[in-house]
Amino acid sequence: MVITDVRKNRLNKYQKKVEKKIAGFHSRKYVRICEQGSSRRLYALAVMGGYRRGQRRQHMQTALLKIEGAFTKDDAAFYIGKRCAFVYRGKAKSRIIGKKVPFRAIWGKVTRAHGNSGCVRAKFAVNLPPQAIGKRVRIMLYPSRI
Amino acid sequence: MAIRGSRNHELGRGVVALSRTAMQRKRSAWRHRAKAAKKPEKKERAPCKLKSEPRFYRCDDVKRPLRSRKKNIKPTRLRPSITPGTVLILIAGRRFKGKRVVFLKQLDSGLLLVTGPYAVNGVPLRRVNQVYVIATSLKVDVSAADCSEINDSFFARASAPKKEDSERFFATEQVKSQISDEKKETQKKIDGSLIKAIGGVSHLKGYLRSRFTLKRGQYPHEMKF
Repeated sequence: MVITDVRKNRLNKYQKKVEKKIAGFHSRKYVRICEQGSSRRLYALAVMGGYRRGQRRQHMQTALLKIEGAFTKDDAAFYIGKRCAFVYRGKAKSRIIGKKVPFRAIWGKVTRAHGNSGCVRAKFAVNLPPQAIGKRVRIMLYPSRI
Repeated sequence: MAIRGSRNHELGRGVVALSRTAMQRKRSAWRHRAKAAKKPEKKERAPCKLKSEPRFYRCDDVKRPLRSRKKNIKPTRLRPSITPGTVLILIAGRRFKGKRVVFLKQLDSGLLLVTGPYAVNGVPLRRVNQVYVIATSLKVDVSAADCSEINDSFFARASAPKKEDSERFFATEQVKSQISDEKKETQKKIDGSLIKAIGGVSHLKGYLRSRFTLKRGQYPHEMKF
């Protein structure tokens, strides 16, 4: 709601406080705090749809990924060649770059499009476990071609 | 089968009995053919060089050494979207993921030389592979920054003095790698000329300070950088 200058004069003390707070949200200090906290995602979101398969048997070497926001083969073409990772939790903490974290990753690569509707095939260093079906897979933005 | 309005007739299946020349003769159009279009002039071609065939062909298999890569080293092909002054987004790397940096030049090794500038976003003079970089369409004027003296040797690690094994085993202090004053000076020199150019463009400093990130509803394949 835009409060014009004329109306501002008629604002009571409480309303003026709120106005000041809103103005404060746009200040440099607040913007920096916002940036520090939240989103730091540099990967596209995808879901593992299953393995490459015919009707009656499946080939677990190749996983099918459904990429969020990609609905055509052209959309999917952007992601071909990009590295992808299935991140999961383990009970024991493992070392990743100097830190011990409970997270582990299986790295892979998007190999080609799958069908005409934005799905994609990916091959991983180790076959993805069946628990991964329906779970989040991260598709990185590198190797970049832009 | 007669063709209506013509003295020609069809033999069937689109094949016609009399050829074009024969038809012209019938119409005595051949008398007027000389007035037709002139033939294009023949261009003088350079005389063909005779390829001399060798007089001796080897019948044995001769082992030849593989081609030496040292002779023909070309720098990695730089993507056309990356030119000096382009603002790049670093998309990998532990510390500088998402940072927006300015591209200075391509080094001999093929890596890209980038700088934050350091005073703006904390990214020093750094090498990065172009595969881990997204080039934006934003360009900064880097003509003032002289980075001709910086090569890959600038980034070579200073070799630490070798210690005996026993010394190293008992050493309690961890030797931290220190950045030489020379490097700091070079950084300041280059950044100084860049910061003026950056200050001239509105919002550019704030833009370089911020990090790139993907949010809900934002899809990289739909984005124009």
